[in-house]
Amino acid sequence: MMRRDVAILLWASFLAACVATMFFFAMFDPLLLAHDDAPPRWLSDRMTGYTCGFFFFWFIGATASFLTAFLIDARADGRDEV
Amino acid sequence: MAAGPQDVRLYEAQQKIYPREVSGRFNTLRVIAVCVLLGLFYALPWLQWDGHQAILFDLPHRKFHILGLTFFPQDFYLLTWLLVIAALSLFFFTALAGRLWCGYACPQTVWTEIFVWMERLFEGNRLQRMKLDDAPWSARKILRKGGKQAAWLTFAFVTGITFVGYFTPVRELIPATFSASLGGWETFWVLFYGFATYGNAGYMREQVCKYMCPYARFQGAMFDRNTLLISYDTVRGEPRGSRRRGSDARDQGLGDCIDCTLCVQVCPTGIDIRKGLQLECIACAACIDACDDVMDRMQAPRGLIRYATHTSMAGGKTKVARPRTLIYGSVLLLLIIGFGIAVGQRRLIEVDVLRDRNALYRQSADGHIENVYTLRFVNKDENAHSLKLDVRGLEGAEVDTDAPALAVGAGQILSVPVRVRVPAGQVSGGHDIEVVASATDQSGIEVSASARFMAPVKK
Repeated sequence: MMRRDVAILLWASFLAACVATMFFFAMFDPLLLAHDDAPPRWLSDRMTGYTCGFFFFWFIGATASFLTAFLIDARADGRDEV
Repeated sequence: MAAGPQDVRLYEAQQKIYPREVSGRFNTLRVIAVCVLLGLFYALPWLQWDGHQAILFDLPHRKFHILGLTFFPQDFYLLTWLLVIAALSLFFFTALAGRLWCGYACPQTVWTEIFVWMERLFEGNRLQRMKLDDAPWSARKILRKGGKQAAWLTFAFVTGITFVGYFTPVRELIPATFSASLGGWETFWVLFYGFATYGNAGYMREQVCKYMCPYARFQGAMFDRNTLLISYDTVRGEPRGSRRRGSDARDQGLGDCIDCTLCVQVCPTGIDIRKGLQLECIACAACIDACDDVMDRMQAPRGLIRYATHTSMAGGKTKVARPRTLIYGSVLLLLIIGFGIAVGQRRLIEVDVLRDRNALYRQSADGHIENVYTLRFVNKDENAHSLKLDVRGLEGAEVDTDAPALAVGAGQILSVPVRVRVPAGQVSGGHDIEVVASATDQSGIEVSASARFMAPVKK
């Protein structure tokens, strides 16, 4: 994978993570985690919650992008049309 | 004759672009746009409204203040609506006049413009910059490059602080920054946004438009033959070639293009507009300004490169009102009107009812059946309100609360436990009721939420 491909994957998943974070935290308040049975206390601060959420979405998006790119890249030789 | 495996480079090597400085009508327009937009960006956080920051997205408290209005996560649909309006406006203006957004309003263009200006201040014009980059390191080069870096970093840092100032009150943020008592997340986001500005406007520049921007890839889908684009008049310009000033080009078998390549030198994305419309063109019109200047000096009419539609270039008449623009325009108008109504009709107080989970009902000593609920009020108004409660839908039902006076402050979220009581003989099984809260200090504010009232089933 080229360096610029990696940059594009990270960038696309960054954009997706921004949108996901916005939608997710419009619905769910990170503070609600504090009402959980065993709340991870460090997570129950709102800013920490938002930030962790953002990086979580980014990580998931990047993983999906990398896997997609890898699977497309690593198809058996000669069988793909291009 | 099998050819061996061959390395194919998918990308051409990136060449640094040194855009030449340009002046003219469209450059003036862009400078005005830059001043207005950046002025707004840096000034808005300082604007006060009724004793609080006029525009503040208070994430820790989940409240968005915009002038006199306070928005809550429950109003999220309004933001979605606004984003749809923004996207559709982009489509509408793209169909009308191409990439207006890219050339004049995109943050990438606007900040790049400022960063290039600072670069020019320290490193000189295009030729001086190219020479400086080629020259070996010397005290002079270090001084110039260092000065530029210092200006860039300072500007990026101020940009980062301003950005965070939309989320944390900027009047507390600045003193906290200089007394080094900034919170962890604030520090992180100041540096993150500052670094993004520095990298994108200082180094990435046109590469952001060419490789990163999704809009740049699909904007072509909104174009048609009547879209206003930056166009080179091939018929008039070709065959291109140099000639002496004042000589008649047609006598020499030449078009109006003198092949001075100024249009290429001023292009921030490094393309040659004479090859026709290209994906890289951000429609900044720098080439128009440069070419108009040359035409003036050649005493030829302006507009060898100009804003023109495909139709008008071919000698036809441009149709502004056509199905594409009419549909985009009317849907856009409807959405904007709808948005205005939705904001205007927004309920100022909202209420949710949660049933007590511990007991279905309770029998009081004085012979009533009681159900306990928690009412959760959200006051989106700028003013505090006193409320009175009422219950509908069940004969003989009354509602009371231990709170002495039910008042919900401006922007406050308030949870109140309440009891709904019905004389024991009057009710059996489950009933739907409606809990109503109305403001006692202002008429017209009334909210309600439905709930289920449970009583023992009479045999």
